[in-house]
Amino acid sequence: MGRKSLFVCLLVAFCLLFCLAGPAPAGVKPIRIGAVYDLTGALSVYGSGSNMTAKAAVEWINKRGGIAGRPVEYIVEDGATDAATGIRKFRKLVLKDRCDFVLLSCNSGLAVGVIPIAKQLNTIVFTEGTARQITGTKGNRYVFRQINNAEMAAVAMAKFAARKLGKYAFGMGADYEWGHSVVDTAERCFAPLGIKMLGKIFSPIGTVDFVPYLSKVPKEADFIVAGYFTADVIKLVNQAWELGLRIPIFVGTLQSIRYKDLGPGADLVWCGTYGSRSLEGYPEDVRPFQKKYREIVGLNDEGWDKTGKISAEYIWAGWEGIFWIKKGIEESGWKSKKDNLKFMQALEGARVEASLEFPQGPKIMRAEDHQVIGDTYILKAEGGKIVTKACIRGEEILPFYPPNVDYRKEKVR
Amino acid sequence: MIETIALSLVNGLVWGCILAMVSIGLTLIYGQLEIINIAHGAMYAVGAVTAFYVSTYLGSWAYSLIISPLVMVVIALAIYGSSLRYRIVGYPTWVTLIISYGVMFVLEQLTLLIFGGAPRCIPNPLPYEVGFLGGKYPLYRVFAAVFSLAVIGSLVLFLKGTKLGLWIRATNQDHDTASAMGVPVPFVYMFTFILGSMLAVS
Repeated sequence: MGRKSLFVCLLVAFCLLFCLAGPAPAGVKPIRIGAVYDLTGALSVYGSGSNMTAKAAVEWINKRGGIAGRPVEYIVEDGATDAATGIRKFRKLVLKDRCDFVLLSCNSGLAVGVIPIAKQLNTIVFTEGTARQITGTKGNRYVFRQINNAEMAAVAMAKFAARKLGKYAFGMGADYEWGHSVVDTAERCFAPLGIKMLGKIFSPIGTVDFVPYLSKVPKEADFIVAGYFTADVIKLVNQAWELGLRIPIFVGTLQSIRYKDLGPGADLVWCGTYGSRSLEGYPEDVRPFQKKYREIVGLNDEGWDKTGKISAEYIWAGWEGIFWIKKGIEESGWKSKKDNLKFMQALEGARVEASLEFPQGPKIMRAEDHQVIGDTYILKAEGGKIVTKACIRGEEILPFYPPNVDYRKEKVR
Repeated sequence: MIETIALSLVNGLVWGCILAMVSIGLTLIYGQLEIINIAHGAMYAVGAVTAFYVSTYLGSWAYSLIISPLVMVVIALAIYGSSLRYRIVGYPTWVTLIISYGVMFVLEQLTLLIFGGAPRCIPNPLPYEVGFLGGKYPLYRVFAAVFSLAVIGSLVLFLKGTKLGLWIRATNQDHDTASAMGVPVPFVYMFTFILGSMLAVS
């Protein structure tokens, strides 16, 4: 074979290869879901857990044919509990990895920073951050929150505290969006319930020594409302006991905190949060789905993962975030970002029942502010474990928490 | 009001003592070796994690007072022997700064890998309060402050009153002359680094 014939053969082979290996049919193009979860830093117990459940949801969906016949690709980036890092990772997920949707961690600062960029980049995000303004004045039509927010937890907390804990409260919180949300909303809800907030004080995240703050708690206070998370809760509760304070402390989260880490004052700790740690703490209509979900993601009935380091009450948000996306795509016929408006409209006002897809319970994605209205749980440290004392259903909270924005008026590209 | 001010003063003093003990190791390493040990905080965290495991599995916090510094001796030896020893004399400060920065990342990630991100608490070994102006103050904080002062005092006595202390001071003033006078300078450097690291976890 001469050189010329060889060249022609190679050219033909190349053309054939090019034709055969051309672009894949539109139907099989994967849907890319990115996630900025805090896998390191102070919020890593939330981020690692949500990543675990989101990943499990994607595997579960892919085994059953994907979403609308398209496989799902899941790409996670570490937000490192730092808003600036998280924002950088969000940009990377959208611009480099070409993600269609992005899940955001519970870092409210990250959500607040990402929201305007999400609009700019025409990317819908689902956030677990619970600061009130994310689905308020700082939000926009591109953000959905698949978990109740701090205000709603505070409403439930206030209703419960009014019945059980006394008439005089003192507020303490981490000095950032979420900490203020918990304390300020509790104060607002207390007044009509006959509880007086005697004062409030905020300390930086990661405060080592709470003594200067705890010394400000008036003797008349019947209980403390505390907007702190993870290690700060442990330090606050232990140091309150060491200072001789023997009053209940109502905290905003006990995620991944064991009973024994709360020290000798553990039995004084209450918590208003977004899920039950134990399976038996869920209402009967939710429990079977919760059980199945726990089997799939690897949580036991007591609410711990296999390593015994991550607890169950918050991390279902990763799982449900994926299924909100699935629901939006299937109901809107979403094909690409060009269909984002249809996706938004499909979820605005959507109602879901307790199911394997939504194992935390029934909920509504409120049309105006894209805020899920679901159940809130009151937990208590008692008898060596964290037990569920009450489930405040979403419909009980709804009248106390009207929307203050309407994103549906916003134009979408 | 007076109670609050007095409590703040006492608490500030107590915390000052505790922080002084943690930072004196950093000062010793920088003062003697001119190493800006960025990993000092990570070493402190390793000490805390070790103390947690020791108190959990051996049932007593007291064991960690011995075991945590011993673990740190091994870690400090590994860090010093593998990298720092070759980069102290004749190299600018930023070289060891970069090395210790890398060490910090390694220690942090190893801690995260083994311990995880979930917060844990070592039970208070002295769960009593002392009366203070009509209020209460945790006894273990008083103990920690006294212990810190004792450690700092012992270190001063060690540096001023022992042969090894004299070697450390001499090496710091002029390592060439100290070496000419028979001081084992490489050993002094290694010992100082280990001592400073142990102070981070005391």
